[in-house]
Amino acid sequence: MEKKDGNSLVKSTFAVALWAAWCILVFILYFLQFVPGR
Amino acid sequence: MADILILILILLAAAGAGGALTRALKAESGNFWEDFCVGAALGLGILILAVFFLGVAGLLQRWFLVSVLILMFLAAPRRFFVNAAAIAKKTYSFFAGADLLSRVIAGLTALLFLCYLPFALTPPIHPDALVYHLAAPKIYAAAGRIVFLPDNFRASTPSGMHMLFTLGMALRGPTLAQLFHLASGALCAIALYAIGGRRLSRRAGLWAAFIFSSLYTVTIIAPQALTELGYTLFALLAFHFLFIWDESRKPGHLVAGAIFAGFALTTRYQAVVWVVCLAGTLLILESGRREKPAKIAARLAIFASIALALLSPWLIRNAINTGNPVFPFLNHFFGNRYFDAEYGVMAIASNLRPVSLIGNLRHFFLFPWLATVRGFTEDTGFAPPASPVFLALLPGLLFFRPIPRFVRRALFFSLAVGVLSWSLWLVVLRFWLPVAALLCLALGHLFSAASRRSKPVYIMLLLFIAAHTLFIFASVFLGKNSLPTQIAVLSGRISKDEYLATRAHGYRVFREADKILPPDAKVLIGFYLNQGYYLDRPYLYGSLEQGYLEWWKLRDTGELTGWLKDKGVTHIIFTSYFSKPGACAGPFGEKLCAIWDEFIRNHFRPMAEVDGSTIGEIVY
Repeated sequence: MEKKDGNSLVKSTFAVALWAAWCILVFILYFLQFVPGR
Repeated sequence: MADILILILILLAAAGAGGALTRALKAESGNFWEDFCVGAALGLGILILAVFFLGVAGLLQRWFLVSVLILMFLAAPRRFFVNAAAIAKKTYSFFAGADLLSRVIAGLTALLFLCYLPFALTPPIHPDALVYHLAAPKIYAAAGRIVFLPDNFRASTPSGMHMLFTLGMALRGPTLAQLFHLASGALCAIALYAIGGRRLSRRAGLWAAFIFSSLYTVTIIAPQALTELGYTLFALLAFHFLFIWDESRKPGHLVAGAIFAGFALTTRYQAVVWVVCLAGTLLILESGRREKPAKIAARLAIFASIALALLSPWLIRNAINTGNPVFPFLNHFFGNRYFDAEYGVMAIASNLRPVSLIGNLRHFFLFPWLATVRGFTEDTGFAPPASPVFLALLPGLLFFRPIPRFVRRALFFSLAVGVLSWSLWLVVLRFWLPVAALLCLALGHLFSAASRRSKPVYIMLLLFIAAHTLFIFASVFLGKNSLPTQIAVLSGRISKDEYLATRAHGYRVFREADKILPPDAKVLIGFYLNQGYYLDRPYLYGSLEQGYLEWWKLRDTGELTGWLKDKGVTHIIFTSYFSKPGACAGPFGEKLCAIWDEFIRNHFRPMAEVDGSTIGEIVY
């Protein structure tokens, strides 16, 4: 992660990991909408 | 193919005439794609007004319409050819010179529209198109004029896109009409590319265009004759010009913004929310400059009056036809010649899930989830789960602060439109689709910023969008409106009759009615059959959910037959279930059901039954 931007929250790997998990969760939940029989 | 060629010629003529107007307003940017898109959108707007005025004058004949197109061409004949050459040249130089990823993104965007194309070339099946978006233009084109359809109240809503569909129906047929909507979607993608390129970076614009084109909602609606993408195009350009005006202070930009706001209003009433938010933004921007109140008021008045002036033909038409300029809304305020005040409003509202602010606080907080991921109904044709990209990816903007001013403005504006739409019960994302376009610009910035500033985040974004793209292509190929099916219909492997029998409600019964009914028959289309597009006889909608035939007020069978006779109705088509005595007690109530049963017993002679629907003659 670059550190040029002092404001950047990217410093926090944990926050990015959390966001990545959120992305996966949303995608899966979205995808499940299309599973027949639900 | 002829339809596609005609569409291209019309778009080039529109872009030429619109480009001349942009130049007259001194609102040109110098960027080809932006100017082309603005010109084409303005040209389509001009065409909308021209078809409307020809329609009310009873001049909807092919030659008058062609004359309008020729006049548009003659307004700027050089631009017609210059634009055509420049599109080919710019596209070629882009694909020859851009970096690999840019080429992939642009190529995928083009591929998506190519995949939507066969659906636009097959016969229309969207329920809304069959009820009014195409059903009304079909009647207008056949009558040679725009006629008032009191039974089909949805046709009376401001209907800019209906005018383009009418043009399509009169010149060629439903395919050209559907292509107009698809073309509006392509213009939206070009607009996002141009706006993103101007405000953020070319890559951001490309991402925005691609993500927008791959929204699940867009994949479904783009090839069908609906209004959303015209609305999105006009609304997006209105937003764009408002902020350009804020920087340039050239009156032409404010006027262009107001013109697009007006054209957005002609596409649907819900655009009022967008335009009110634009006016609010104008007020805030002008106040921030510490302008004199009189000047601010004057600019707001200019903006509002131009926008309203462009909507006014529809308001005047409704005022003349019904006494209510904003028919079918606010009937209780303006009164109405055709509809029971309360009932007309109820019929509209019943289309939406009542997720109001009061008493539904839980829904308020779940709104972004419901609008984008969950969807509002089980029917994917109406309010599908729009797309997971916004809810999943937008929080990522927090990692790349400071967020550019343009993106912040787009986000705040989206929030304002979203909250206002929500509080007005306009819960379905389709009704405020331009917000999705703005959010795509924010996402475009996210992708562009991540590529420059954080490789791991960028890779994560690419993985997400790759999965999403795979899902979208899978839905295009395997979903309900699957591409192979469309191609099979186009190639004749599946007959159009066979296709429509499974996809268009009531298709076979209407075909049968066309065969067996006398040429001068006038039909009442009854319960649960409300998509009259494929019936080639004059018809009235008689479903319970609309108020022209006020079922609930009927006191006896004589009143029902009197009403039908008065309207010249000779035949009825309705769901056969309701011919069994007492079967209608559930939806009708005991009293009305008794009237209906007596009517069926004494005044109805069945002629045929197809797919669970009965065709019959009224015996007066």
